[in-house]
Amino acid sequence: MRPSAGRAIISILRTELRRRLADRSIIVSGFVAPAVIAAIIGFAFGAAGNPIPLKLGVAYDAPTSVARSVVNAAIGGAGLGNLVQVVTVSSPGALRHDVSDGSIGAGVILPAGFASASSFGISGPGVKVEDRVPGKTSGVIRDLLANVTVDTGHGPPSAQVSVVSQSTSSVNGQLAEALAASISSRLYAGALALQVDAGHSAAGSSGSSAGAAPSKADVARLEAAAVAAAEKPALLDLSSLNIGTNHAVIGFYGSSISIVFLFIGAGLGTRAIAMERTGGTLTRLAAAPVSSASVVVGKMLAVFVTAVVSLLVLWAETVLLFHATWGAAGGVVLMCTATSLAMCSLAMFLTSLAKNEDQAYAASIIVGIVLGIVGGNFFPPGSLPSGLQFVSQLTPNGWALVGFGRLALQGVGISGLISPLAILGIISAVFIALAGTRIRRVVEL
Amino acid sequence: MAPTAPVLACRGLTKRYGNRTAVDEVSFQIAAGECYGLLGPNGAGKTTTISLACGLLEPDGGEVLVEGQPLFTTSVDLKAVIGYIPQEIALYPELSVVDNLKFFGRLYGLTGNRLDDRTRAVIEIVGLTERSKERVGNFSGGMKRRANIAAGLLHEPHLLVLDEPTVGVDPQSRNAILETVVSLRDAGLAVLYTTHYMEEAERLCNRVGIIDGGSLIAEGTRRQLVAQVRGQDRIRLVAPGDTDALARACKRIDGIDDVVRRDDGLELAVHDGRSVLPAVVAAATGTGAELSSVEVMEPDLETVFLALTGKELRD
Repeated sequence: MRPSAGRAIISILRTELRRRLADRSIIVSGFVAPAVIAAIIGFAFGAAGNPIPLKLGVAYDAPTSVARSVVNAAIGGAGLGNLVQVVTVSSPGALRHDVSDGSIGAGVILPAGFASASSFGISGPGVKVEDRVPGKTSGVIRDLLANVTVDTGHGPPSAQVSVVSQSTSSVNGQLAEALAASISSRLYAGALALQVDAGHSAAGSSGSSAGAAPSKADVARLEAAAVAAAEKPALLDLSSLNIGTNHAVIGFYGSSISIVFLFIGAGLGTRAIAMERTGGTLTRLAAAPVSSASVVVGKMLAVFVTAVVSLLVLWAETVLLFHATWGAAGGVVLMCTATSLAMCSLAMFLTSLAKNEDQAYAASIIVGIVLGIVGGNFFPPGSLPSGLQFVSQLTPNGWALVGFGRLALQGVGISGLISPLAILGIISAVFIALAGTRIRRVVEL
Repeated sequence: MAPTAPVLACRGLTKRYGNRTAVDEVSFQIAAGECYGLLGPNGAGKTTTISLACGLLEPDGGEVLVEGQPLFTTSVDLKAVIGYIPQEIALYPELSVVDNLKFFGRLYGLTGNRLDDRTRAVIEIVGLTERSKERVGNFSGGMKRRANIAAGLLHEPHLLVLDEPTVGVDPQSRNAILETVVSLRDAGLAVLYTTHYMEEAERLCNRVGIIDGGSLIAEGTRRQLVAQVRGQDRIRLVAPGDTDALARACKRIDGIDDVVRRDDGLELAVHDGRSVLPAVVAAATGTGAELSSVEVMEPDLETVFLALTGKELRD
């Protein structure tokens, strides 16, 4: 007599959950720990939803009064209030450095020819993104570029406004990047308005000519046009970014920190399997008429269910107690599921490498902390060396942060989560496959 | 019950870990209704042999046949006829005996009333009915061992494999465990029993294999093993006073090979102590020796083990 693989897996899963309930470990990891994390994050960021100041840098190739006026008008028109602290940086190089080390979330560089009459128009694409991490541009910037790629056919390329940003998943970086992009879009809109105005003037009078310095009248018209443009609808709708309060940030940090605990929890769960090897119960399971795969899958499912529950409980607690905004419910559930699966798969793979429960425990803690650091759960990735910044894009927690960040900060729906979900799925598949090759080692003596 | 076709046959089993050979060309077989004891000191290779016989390890050489079919680590169906009782308490301490047994029963395909009935039955066999709903973690060592055995009996296996099931057990539980094994053997199960307690092997096993350093160095019934090492019975006579006349008389009795003087009497080396004993008592009466005690000592497996390996069983 032998059970089907499905029945065996369900039996093992049920018993694992009963054991975790009996020793209360599921209560601790599934409910108590998320509650503690929620409380810490909620109180740290304030339950009232006070805005968190973000730092945005502005640098000028040539700090003319025209350029300053246009920027001030754009910032004022963006209605940023006390949400953003805008600082002027001495040079584009200094701005790039500050963004690279994470001291400034993002910035805007005004080109030298910006104030010249010939470059009132900005040739397309009007906004150039300087991505500190080559090869990856965040969704916000991609959206922006899609909106502003308008080739007016006028002006030299040197007049492009540059947005300097980090493409990795730091909260400050993403928010500041979005704001920088918004300001750039307003500058672009103002320049377009001025182009039109300049065109009219050229047709009707002796107005500005290409290559000449702007007259006082040009400057006045430029300022007026910039202010007018700032009052028009922005090319990028900031209201969709959930940056009015820090509720989204609570949601984002809630998921960010819990991912680290999730991995450690998953590691401890799989370590329990290694302990069973020593205790003898795994030997008895191996002697039973069920496959090793059924045993491992059943036990891993229990760890996975616990992980998903802990994330969902954290979500519910931060929403109910601190009014956190994690984003679309469907997206949150999908991200919690995909993240838990990826982390459990990795933990299972590490357990398959370990010779005993002590090694499994040490591996889960060490790898969890390293992933937390590299993936951006503890520090902004921008503060890491460029090599590690690249590595962060290989970590499951890094991609989990991208997904949760898009949900909480950009307000995307499920369609906006395709890439993080797909990559987390790939990571899960890879680690499950790797663990699968060593599945007998997990179970055998 | 007369032995029939082997339920378990191990042929030339070999298992190596690096340069160390844990099990070296071990062969034996067990028929239904037979209890085979694997006797050896700690580290002799008993547990590795059992792990190979249960399909927990893949051998580097040789084969295992269960009911005539080759057994591999992946032989899921064939494992259903084996009841494995590991040396460790392989139960979940957070769960009750009933919950543990029902879980393991389900893994052997038991469901519904059948599962309930079998759970009740094995709990009764091991004498834990009164405490079946208590957590295993709260049990004494002996009770845990009994529950551990119950889990191996649930699915009514044809082959029962017990790996030192009485280690660290109180005398009462030990006796209960041994009685359970005897009754299962008598009910027709093939039993493979490892131990380093020779008295258990003598009490339970129809045949014994002596394993040392990974090799099976002798096999047979106790009598066969004793004969193999030419073991002799010894008769110890305690007689105060002069025993010279008695010693001379004993040397003339057929079946007595040697007479050794002791401080308090004599020790006789004989082929069959029980058959020679009446003549020895008659000789004592005839010589006027006053016997205060007579003891017949038959050679045991400990003696055999010492003779074969040159070391004590519990080394």
